[in-house]
Amino acid sequence: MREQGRSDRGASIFMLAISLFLLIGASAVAVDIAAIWLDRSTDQKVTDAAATAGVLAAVQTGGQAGCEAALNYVAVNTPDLTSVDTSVCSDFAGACTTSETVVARGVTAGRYEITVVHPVDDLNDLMTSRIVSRTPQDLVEDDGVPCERLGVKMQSTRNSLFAQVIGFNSGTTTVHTVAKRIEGDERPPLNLIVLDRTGCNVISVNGGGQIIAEPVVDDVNSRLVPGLIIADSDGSECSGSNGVINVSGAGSVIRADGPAGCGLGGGAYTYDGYPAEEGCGRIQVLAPGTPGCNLPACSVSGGGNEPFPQPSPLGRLYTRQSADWKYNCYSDYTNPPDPGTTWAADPLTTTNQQDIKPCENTATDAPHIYNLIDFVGPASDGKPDSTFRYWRADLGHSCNPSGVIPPINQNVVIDCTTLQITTGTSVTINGKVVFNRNVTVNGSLTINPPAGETWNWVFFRGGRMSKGGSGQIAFNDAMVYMAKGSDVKLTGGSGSLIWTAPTSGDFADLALWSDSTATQDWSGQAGLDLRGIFFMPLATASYSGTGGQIQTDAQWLAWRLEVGGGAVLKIAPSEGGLKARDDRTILIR
Amino acid sequence: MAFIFSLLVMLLVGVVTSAIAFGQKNSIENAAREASRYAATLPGAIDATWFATVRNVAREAAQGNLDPGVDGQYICVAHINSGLRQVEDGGVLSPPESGMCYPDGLTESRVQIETRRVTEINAAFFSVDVTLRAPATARYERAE
Repeated sequence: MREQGRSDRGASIFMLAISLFLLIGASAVAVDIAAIWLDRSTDQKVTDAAATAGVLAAVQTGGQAGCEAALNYVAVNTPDLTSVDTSVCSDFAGACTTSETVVARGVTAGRYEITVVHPVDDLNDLMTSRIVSRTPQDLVEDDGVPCERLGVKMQSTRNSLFAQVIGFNSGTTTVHTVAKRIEGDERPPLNLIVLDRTGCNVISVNGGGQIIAEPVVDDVNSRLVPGLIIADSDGSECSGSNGVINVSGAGSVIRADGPAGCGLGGGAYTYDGYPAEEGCGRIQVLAPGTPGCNLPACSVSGGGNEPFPQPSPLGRLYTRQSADWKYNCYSDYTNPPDPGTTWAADPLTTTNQQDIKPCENTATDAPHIYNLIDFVGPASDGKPDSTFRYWRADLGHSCNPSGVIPPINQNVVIDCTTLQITTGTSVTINGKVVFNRNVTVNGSLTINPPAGETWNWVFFRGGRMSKGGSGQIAFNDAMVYMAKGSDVKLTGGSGSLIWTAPTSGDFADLALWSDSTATQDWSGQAGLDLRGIFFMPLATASYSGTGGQIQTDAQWLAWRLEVGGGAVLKIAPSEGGLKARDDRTILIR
Repeated sequence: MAFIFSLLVMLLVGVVTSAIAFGQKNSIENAAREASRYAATLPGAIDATWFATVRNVAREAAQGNLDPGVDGQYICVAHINSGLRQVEDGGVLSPPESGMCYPDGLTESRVQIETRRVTEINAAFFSVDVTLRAPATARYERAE
C-alpha cells in the first residue's frame, strides 16, 4: 500500500526534461542538416555553371582563361562569396595537349575550397567519380578528350547553428562537375581566314586596296549573317608599328558588313533583298590589342582607314581544320598515311597539320584530296589511267597552238614545258586535265566537266598557271588542285577569270586546294567571277589591280593575304562553304 | 508548465515553417539554375518570346513557388550581350528593357536569372516575412 501512494511527479518532470532535450536537439540537428543539404544542392549548380563557362574559355582562349572563368562563375553564383582569388590560374598557362600533365589547383574562399582541373584525363578522380567514393565509372565514347574537358570541385564547410549543443559542430559537403566542349549546330560562315600563327601584316591592305567581307544570306532562317574575318596570328613576330592587321595608305579599307542595326553608323544598303549595313560584321584577331585597333593585333598608317568594325578578340585558334575535315577527312592528322610518293605536296605533314583534331566523320567522309593525289601521282607516273591521253609536242600536239582549236572531249595530261595559248587562240577541254608544267594564257582557255558529268577537277603536278591582262580563263564547275611548287600569276586587265567550284561531288564548293608555299598572285579583271572556297593554307595570296567586280560567293583561306594597288576584294561565302566553330558544352560528370 | 508548453509550440511551429522556407528556397534556386542553363543554349532572337520561354522554364522548375499569385513573386531574365532584361514582379510583366538583373562584374556574353518570393517564418505567437532570393549566371553559348 505504501508503494501505491508514492508520487510520480519527479519522474514526469524528468521524462519531460529528457523529451524536451531530445526534441530540441533533434530539431536543431534537422535545421543544420537541412542547411547542409541546401548547400550541397546550391554548390552542385554552382559547379555546373562554373565548369561550363570554364571549358568554353579553356578551348577558346586557353587553360588559364578557363580557370579564371570557372572561378569567376563560382564567385557570382555562390551567395556568400563576392570574389575568388584567380592568381592560381597562371599555372594553367600554355596550350593544352593530350599528353600534358593534368593541372589541378585549389583555392580557398570563405568556407569553400574550390579546385579547378584542366585537362581532365581519363583516370582523373573527377572522371571516375572516386572523388565521391562511388564505384569507379567507366569512360564512354561521348566523354571526349582531356583537353576538351574541365572539372570543378567544390567543398563547403558550414558551422552548425544549433547542433553544436550536442557536439555537431560543422558539416562538410563535396560536389564536382566535369563539362565537355561539343560542336554546336549554329556554325556561322567564314569569309576570310588567314592562318599564319605568329606573323605580322598577315592581312595587309595598302595602296587604296579594299577587303570587304560581305554578309551571308541564311535562306533557312530568312536573314543575313554577319561577314566574318579571322586572323589566327598571335602577333608574336610583330615589332615596331606593324600589327597582325595592317591598313596603310589613303583609301585602304578592311571592312566586314552584316545585317542592319548594329548601331555603328555605317552606310546602309540592300543585300540580296535584306537590309545590310557596313561594319556590322566581325573582324577577329587572336593577338592581344583588341577590342579596338591596337598593337600587336592591328595598326593603321599613312592615311589608311581604321578597320570597320574595330577588331575584336578571337579567343580561339581556328586552324585549317574545317577544310581538312570536309575534303580530307582523317582519323589522325599527326600520323597520316603515306601517299606513297615523295614528289607531291606532302600535304599531310605540312605546317600546323599537327593541330588538326581527328576528323569526326570518318565513317561517312573520305580523304578526297589524298585519294586524288594518290590517283594522279607524279609526272613520272604518266597518265593516271587509260581514259587520259597526252597533249605533248612529240605526239604531234602543239604546245603553242593557234586559232580556235576544236573542243577536246577527253581527259588530258598536258605535258608541255609551257602550254602557250596566245592571243586569238581558243582552247576548250571537256574533261579532266592534268598539267605537268606551265600554262600561259593570253588567248582563251575553257575547261568544262566531261560530257554527262556535273563536276570536274584540274590537277597541277607543278608549274605556273599564268594569265596575261587580256587572257580569258574559265574553270567551270571545277576543283583545281595545285601541288607544292605550283603557283598562279593572274594578271589583271581587260580579260576575264571565271572560276566556279563544283556544286556536287567529292569537291562540292571547293574551287582551289593549293599545297603550294609560293605566293599566289591574283588581280582584278574586267570580268571576274570566283565562286567557292579558295584554300591556300601555306601560301600568301596577293590581290592587286583594279577591274570590274562581279565576284560573289567566294571564301578565302590563306596563310597570309595582301591587297593593294586599288584592288577591291569582295568576299562572301557560298552557302555550302566552310563554317566557323560553334562551341557548346555538356555536363558529363 | 504553460511556459514550457508555449516554448514547445513555438519551437515546433518554427521548425515546420523554417523547413517549408528551406524547401521554397531550394525550389526557387533550382528554378534559377535550370532557367539559366536553358537560356545559355536557347537559340533565336532575344525578344519577348525568348524571355517568355526562359521565364516559363523557371516557373515550371519552381513547382508553384514562382506562380503569379505567390507572395513577392519575382522573375528577372537578362541577356547581357544584347543588353536586355525582362522582369515579372508580382505577376505583372514589364516589357523588355535595357539593363541587367544584378551587377556581377563579368564581361563576357552571359545570361542572368533572378528569382524571388516572400515566405513567412512563423513561431506561433509572432511571425516574420523573409524574402528568399536566388540569382544564377551562366555563360551564353550561342553564336553572337
